[in-house]
Amino acid sequence: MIRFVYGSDLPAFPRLADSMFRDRAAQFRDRRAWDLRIDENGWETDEYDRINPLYCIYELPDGTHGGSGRLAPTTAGCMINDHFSDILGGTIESPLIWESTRFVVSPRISGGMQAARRISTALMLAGIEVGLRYGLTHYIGCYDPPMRRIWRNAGWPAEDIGARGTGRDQIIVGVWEISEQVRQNILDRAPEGLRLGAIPPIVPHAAIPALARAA
Amino acid sequence: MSEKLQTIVDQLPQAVTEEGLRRLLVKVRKLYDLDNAIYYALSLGGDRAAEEFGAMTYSPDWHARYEEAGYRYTDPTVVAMQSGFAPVEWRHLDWSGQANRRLLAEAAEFGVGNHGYSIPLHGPMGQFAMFNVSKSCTEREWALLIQEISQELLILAHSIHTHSMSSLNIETRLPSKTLSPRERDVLTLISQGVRRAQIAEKLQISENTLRVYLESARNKLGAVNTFHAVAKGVKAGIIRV
Repeated sequence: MIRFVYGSDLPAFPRLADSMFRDRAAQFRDRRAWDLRIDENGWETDEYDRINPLYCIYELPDGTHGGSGRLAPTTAGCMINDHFSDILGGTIESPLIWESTRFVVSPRISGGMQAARRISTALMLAGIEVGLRYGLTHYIGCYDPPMRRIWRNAGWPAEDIGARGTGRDQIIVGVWEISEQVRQNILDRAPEGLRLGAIPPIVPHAAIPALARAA
Repeated sequence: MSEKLQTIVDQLPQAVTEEGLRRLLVKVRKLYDLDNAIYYALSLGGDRAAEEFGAMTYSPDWHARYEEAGYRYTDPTVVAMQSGFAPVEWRHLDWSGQANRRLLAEAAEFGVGNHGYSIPLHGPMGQFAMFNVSKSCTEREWALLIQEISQELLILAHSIHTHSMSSLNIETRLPSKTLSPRERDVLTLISQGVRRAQIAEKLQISENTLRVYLESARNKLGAVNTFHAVAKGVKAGIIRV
């Protein structure tokens, strides 16, 4: 199931948070060799986890993290404007454009490529749904070359704006379009057995009705 | 973007007082077929954290009752706005508990509307404001209305907030006043009548990247669409035709 959790609400979901930040460490540092800080809990976090981002999380039946993406408005502090304005030729600021970073599928999941594709597709459809709900036009974010293939295969290609570095160390900044057409493209290519369920509303934990909270 | 948005944003420079803002919100209510609209900054942040600024189309009686009952401290819409950045539908909030049920019942009596949509606005120094619209109608009608106007409401909320903070001389993270070289380039080419596909090709960027630059430029200039952004850019001397 998909769950939206703000950073400040993560303490209410200790199992989910712990497995998410450990999965990020396993994926980004151990597998992809990004130069990232891992804390004493084995969590990969950075300064943008501390300014209340919104996590779009795929929760596995056992309550742990199956995959996630981290969302933030470009009208407040965000990674692309703080660190990649050289690539962007300035800053990108709009309430209609959100930043998306740290897109990850848990390396712990069983079921191989198919299971990974189901989770990444579910996360992308949730991202599109949110964008269409609020009238957003684009997501913007940074990624490394191997990630391109995941989005392209899913029918939601990232469009590169520019890059820094070369080879394995290359970091790319790019955009994703949000539209009904894109949603259809993703659905057309969705892997078999994708059970998305309802995509929940985005509400801070303190204001969620008890019934929905228990779900 | 629609003419409604243009009409309202054009009127923003006159809305420097709470009464001016109220007249603007009355126009918002009328143009978008709503029952009520409110912009309220509950904190101006920094060393002016205790100050407030805002206006609403609710009856003064309802405002008085709301404050007298201290609803602002328990109102689920305020609670929901405090810690997030995504807009929220009132029907998704926790209205259980005696105080909340009484708030709902009294709000209905004063004609607030049974459906509402709230947009949170946060600044770096602790500035906190919200923009709400509401209406009495069926769930179906409401869903269709919000689907149609959610993007304009987002633009409107941020325009009113940016304008209000700057007219109050509040230090906040306002959109950069100056366009980046890239944004200036794309707006200049648009103003020369060059087609988008050609601009993308000339600058060797994708069309979505071009749209992202145009959208960011629109926001920084406080415009409602690309055409309006070009006009404002020319007037400000930022782009030369």
